[in-house]
Parts: sequence; structure tokens; C-alpha cells
Amino acid sequence: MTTLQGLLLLLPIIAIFALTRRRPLGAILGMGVFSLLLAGVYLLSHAPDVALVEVAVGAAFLAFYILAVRKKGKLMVIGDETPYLFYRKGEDVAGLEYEILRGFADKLGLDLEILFVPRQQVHKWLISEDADIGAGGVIPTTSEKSNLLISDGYLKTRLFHISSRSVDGRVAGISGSHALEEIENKNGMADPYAYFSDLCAGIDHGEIANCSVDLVRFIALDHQALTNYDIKRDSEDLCYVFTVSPGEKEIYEELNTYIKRLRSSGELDTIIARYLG
Amino acid sequence: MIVRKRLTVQNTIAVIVALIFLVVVLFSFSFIGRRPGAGEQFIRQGVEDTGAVNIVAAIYLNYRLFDTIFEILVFALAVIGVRFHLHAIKDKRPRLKEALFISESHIVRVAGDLLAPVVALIGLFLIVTGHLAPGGGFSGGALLGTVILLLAVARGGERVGRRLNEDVVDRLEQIFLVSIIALSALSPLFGRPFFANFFPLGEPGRLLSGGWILLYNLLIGGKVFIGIWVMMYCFIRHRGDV
Repeated sequence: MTTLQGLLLLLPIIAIFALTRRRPLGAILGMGVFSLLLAGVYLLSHAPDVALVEVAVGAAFLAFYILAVRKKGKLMVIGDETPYLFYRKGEDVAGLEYEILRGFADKLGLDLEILFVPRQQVHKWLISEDADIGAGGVIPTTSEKSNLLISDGYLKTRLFHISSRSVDGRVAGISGSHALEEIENKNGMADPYAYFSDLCAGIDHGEIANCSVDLVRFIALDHQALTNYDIKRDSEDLCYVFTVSPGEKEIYEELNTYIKRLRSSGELDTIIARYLG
Repeated sequence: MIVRKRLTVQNTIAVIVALIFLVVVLFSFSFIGRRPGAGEQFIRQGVEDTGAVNIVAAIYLNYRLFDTIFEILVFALAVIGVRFHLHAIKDKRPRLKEALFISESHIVRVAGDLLAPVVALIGLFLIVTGHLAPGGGFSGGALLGTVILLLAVARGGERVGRRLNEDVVDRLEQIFLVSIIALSALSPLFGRPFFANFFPLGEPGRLLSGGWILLYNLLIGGKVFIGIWVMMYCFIRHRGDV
């Protein structure tokens, strides 16, 4: 078998490889290899001019495709760090929500990209379509309910209102529609307790007069520091959800069916038990 | 699952297409033989007729220039199509994103800076020596286009695009296209038929030889280069990224 015949046999194999890839990046790499092999075929067929064009055009289009995929092939998730649900673990991210989103991104064949921002900014990022999904223990506020797509809930939760007996300081809070709107009115965007970690520190130092947090965050708070606070449990039944950018209707529908399938197959309970059991 | 079903259908179609491709390629290669007569004349008389050592360039820029003009028109149409359809989308300059995402890693930036001039030089070399060795306007122009893409990846599309004065580039592109066509129409003035070379042939193997092939390579290279640049700039302006 000559080299030429070997290359010719490889071509359809590489083509099938490239065409059946689920992840766009794999398909592009397959196309690049295909282009290179084809240039080799041209060269061995005594057509160096055509081989040169194939290499040049193949490389140029590869760059175009990679740039296009860099923008399109990503699932941009944004949210605040949340204990048990969505948190940093060394270099990586872990948590219940992360596991759901990881599986969801794999199913869609997208790369998951995560950016941690304060809870209040999630809304803005989703509206401007710079991110696709908002995560991190989200209980939607009223304005979020009217402007964003809200997925099905995956976990029940409660709100806890914490008020100090001694300090007359700032209002803070991460969850709950009233608390968030109140903070926005009072402190604006420059909220010093925008991240949950800041809030923890604030409570530790006794700087915070009032705040409301949701169930997982309440569990994660340092209960030693909470001895000076009155704790009121809200009776309203709430759910953790994902918020989806209004322009991404398809992602929204896929996410809902994905959560439904996770629930019906019992997989969701297994994941919940792993992180919160 | 709708998505899963769609994917399996897609996979089946993909495999069928690839198999058809396999059959066509293998058969077409097995049927290639030397057909006596066809092309013999070009190979024997090519250098004498055109003054170009590279017989491929001699054919597509001299004997068959008529076909090549239409190839160039196809590329020009592609550029026009990209510009026309992207102009329907409103301007979308990078906003919030620019500060966060465009700054690439240091390695990519340095590698881009180092590679860009080298690749540009190779592209120019291919264009200028198109009539002497494999190369020519199309591949050289495409290589020059990849230089711009490389810079866009390394330094951010918006920064590269900002250097570009749109009016000048639009005008340049038109000038290149018109002069490619006009040059072939000038032949009758020199007592030759349309699409026939009227430049002196020169001594085969020298840089200045091969009649108008060198000039055509330069024009086509410029056209392809500017075309790729314009397409890339359109993508940056109307999609916010390349």
C-alpha cells in the first residue's frame, strides 16, 4: 500500500470522526486534521499549488471556527459562592448546583464556564445576555421573576431573618426578595456585604444589624457568632431555582426537561443526599 | 429526548455523507490515468508560450484566465454577502465583556507577535514567486489573511479592527477587483484577443518574467487579503467578537 492510498483511506475515517463529534471543539480538530491529510494527498498527487491553498485556507477557516466556538460553545454560569450548592474547592468548583449544571452542559455539548459575582449583580449580567444561567442558591426576587426566565425548583428551602439584639448597624442579606430590594435601596451596588463570605465575616464581627439568608447559607453560618442575634424562621415555602437569560429560551426549556428527568430517575435525590444528607 | 433523536439522525446523515465521499474519492483516484494528448501541449509549450516556470500558474493566469476571473468573482460575492447580511444586524461593540475576556493569556499574545511577521513574509513570498514555484495570489492572500486573524486572536479583534479605516479599505477592495477585470479587457488595445497576455515574457526563471502573471498574482493576493480583512471586521462590528 502506498502512502497515497493510506492517506486516502484515512480521510473518510477522519471525516466520520469529525462529523460525529458532539463537542464543537472536537469536530474542529477533526476538520483540521482532515484538511492537513487532504493537503498531503494533493502533494502526493503532484499538485503542490493546490496543497498550499488547502493548508492556508484550512488553517484560516480553522481559526474562524475556533473563534466562533469560543463565543457560542460556552454555557456561561454566573452566581455567588454558596455553601453546599456552588462553591470553590481548590482550583475547581463543586456543589449540588454545579453537578446539575455540569451534567446539563455535557448533555448540550457545551463547555461550562463559571464566573463568581455578588448575588445582586446576577440580574444585570443575565439581562445584558453576557451570561446564560444564574446559579448559587437563587430564590428569585419579584423583579427577577418578571424580567428573567425562572427554571423549575430543584430543592425546597426556607428564609431565616436574623436581627441583632445589640448592634444598630447595617442591613445585609443575600436571599429573599424583600431583603434584596431593601438593600438595593439603602446601600446601592456598593454593598460591602455583596459576597456571602463578606456577610459571614460581618456577622462574626457583629457589624450587621439585620439580614435574611436562605437555608443552606443559614446552616453554613457560624452559630457561635449567632448567639447575639434573634432568629426568625419564615413560614413561606420557597424553592431554589436557576435563572436563565431572557434571550435563551431554548436553554430554559432544555434545563427544565433536564431537571424533570433528574427528578424522575431519582438521580436528583442521590446528588442532594451526597451534599446535604 | 428530542435532542438525542436529532443527534442520532444527524449522525446517520453524517456517516452516509462520509461514505459517499469515500466512494467518490477512491473511484475518482483509481480512474486517473494519463490521457494521451490532453495537457501534453501545455506541458511541452507552457514555458515557451507564457514565460512562467510554474505550469499551474501559466494555466490559471494565462491559458485559462477566463475561468480564474469567475473564481475571483465568487470570492468577491462571498465578501459582499457577508457584509450585506451582517449590516442587517445592529452594531454590537463589545461592552462589559471587553475588559474581562479579550485579554488573552501571555503565551498566546507573545506567540502571536512573534509569528505574525514571519507568516506575513511567507505570504508575500508566495505571492511574488507564484510564477516560479508553487504559491500564487490565492494561497499567499489567504496566508496574509491568517496573519490578521492571528493578531485578532492574540490582541483582541476590536483593537485590530480599530486600525482599519473602513472607507479606504472598501475603496481599495473595489479598486483591486476592477483592475483585475479591466487588465484583461485591455488586451485588444495591444493587438491581442481578450484575456491574452500583452506583457513582455522575459527570460523564464527570472523574477521579472512570465508576462502579467506576477501582476495578476499581486492583484489577486491583495484582493483576497483585503476580502478576509473586511469579513473579519464585519464580524467584529456586528457580533461583538470574531
